[in-house]
Amino acid sequence: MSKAIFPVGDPSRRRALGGLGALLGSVLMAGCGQKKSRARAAARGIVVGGGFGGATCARFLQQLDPSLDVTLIEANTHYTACPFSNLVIGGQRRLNRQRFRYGALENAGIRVVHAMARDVDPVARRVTLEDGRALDYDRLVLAPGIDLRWDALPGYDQAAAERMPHAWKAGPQTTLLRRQLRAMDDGGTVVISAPENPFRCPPGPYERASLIAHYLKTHKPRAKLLILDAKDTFSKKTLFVDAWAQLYGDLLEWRGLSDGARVIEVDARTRRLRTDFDSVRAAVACVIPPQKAGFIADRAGVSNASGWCPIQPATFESTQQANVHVIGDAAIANAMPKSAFAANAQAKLCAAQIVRMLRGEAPLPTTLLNTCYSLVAPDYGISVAGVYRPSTRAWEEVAGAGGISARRAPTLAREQEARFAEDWFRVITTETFT
Amino acid sequence: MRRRLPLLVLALAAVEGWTAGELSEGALLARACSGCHSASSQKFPSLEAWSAPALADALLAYRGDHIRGTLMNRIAKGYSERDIHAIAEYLGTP
Repeated sequence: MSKAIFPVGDPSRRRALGGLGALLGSVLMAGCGQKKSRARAAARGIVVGGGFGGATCARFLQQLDPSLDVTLIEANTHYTACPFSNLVIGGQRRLNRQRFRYGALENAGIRVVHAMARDVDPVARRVTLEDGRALDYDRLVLAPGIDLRWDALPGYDQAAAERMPHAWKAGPQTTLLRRQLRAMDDGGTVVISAPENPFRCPPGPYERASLIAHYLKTHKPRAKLLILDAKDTFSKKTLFVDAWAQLYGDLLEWRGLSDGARVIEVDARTRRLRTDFDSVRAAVACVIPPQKAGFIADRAGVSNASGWCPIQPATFESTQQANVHVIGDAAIANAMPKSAFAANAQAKLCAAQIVRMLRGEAPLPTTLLNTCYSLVAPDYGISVAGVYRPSTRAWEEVAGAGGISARRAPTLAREQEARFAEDWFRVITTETFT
Repeated sequence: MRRRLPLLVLALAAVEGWTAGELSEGALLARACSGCHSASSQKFPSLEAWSAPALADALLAYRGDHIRGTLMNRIAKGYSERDIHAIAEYLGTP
């Protein structure tokens, strides 16, 4: 960790201060001369990926130490949020309510660069962009989210995803799945294929199934929805299963690994999914394939054979590369799920640890939490929470805390959690983007 | 004059940012709370107007199931008394 301390006047860390930076620098040096760290050249923090993890981390790096030179590298000019995008698929929400821009980050003094990060040299501490530009960092935070593994499920490649959408990154894929559902004849079978753990948003496939079932029940009552799962259990299972029986009856059917329902091959042309024991033809198929950390993690040398990125829990610093931190879905945070809430909470903690280390202070192993709401219907919400502590090896769940909503609860409580879910989305997107 | 005004604004913004940049254990713990509790919320109670003792009492009451929420009991049980006092100290109004 001592590498994190910037010696005063170290010429290799110095950077030409220009414009706003120079102005800020001189003001701070004059105004806060007693703060030793103020006299140093601005440390450069680069964040790659502008989702719930990356955008939050950039904001908090800048907020926690305004003297930092913070750059956010994000290929897209706007972000399309995944949480609540299942309502778009179910026809209850417009996709434009999922879109967020980066103007507030720029106004806060963060340099936002809209380009794809192509490569990372962790020795030279340099990020190279697709257009050839190179940016040097003192600390790098990678928040690249997920890439879909196009090599993992026979028959499922990028072309197949245009016939059998994954919709696991919100945007055109979300719209495509919505359009297919609308165009489907009443009486058709919708199939959702859910992957093995770990993957982004553990309860996501089941919320999606629920909201599609809600759409079918009201608009195509002769249709069916079938979930083919590579697992026998999943997040909030008892609550989902109870609610499905109550709300959707025979319309929705879940089959797990032990039922032979793991999808092992797909044929996009015929929309046929082959499982361990069976073969199913779908009118609409949503195939959620296995995933891995976004590709820049491979380029930076922070991912391992699992496809995900091992970290030192308390700081989110890679165990494979010094000065590179990984947060959000891409990181191996053990018991912490790959959720927007977790990414946002990790981002705030990671930013604080980086600022502490830049000042020569030891990082503080600190408890984190996750909260995740799912909708089983637009007015029926359920939740899971967890509290996590960092040991030297892993993020471990605190025993006796967390858990899912009460199995027996009045309708009012489910309605209340649905309203809380909406408010959660408003709050977290405000903190991250607006 | 036209050159000095932005300088003053920047200086104030920078000083405000410096004080907001608390890195205590309480601050690090409490920042996870703003994933739900913030001024932008319409359903979750804002924590801005609470005193530190009132916040600590509420969190301890959730932790001991003396009051019932939908989620807060499950969350509060994961924090030690020391954590709770550190959180309350950071979030509470002086």
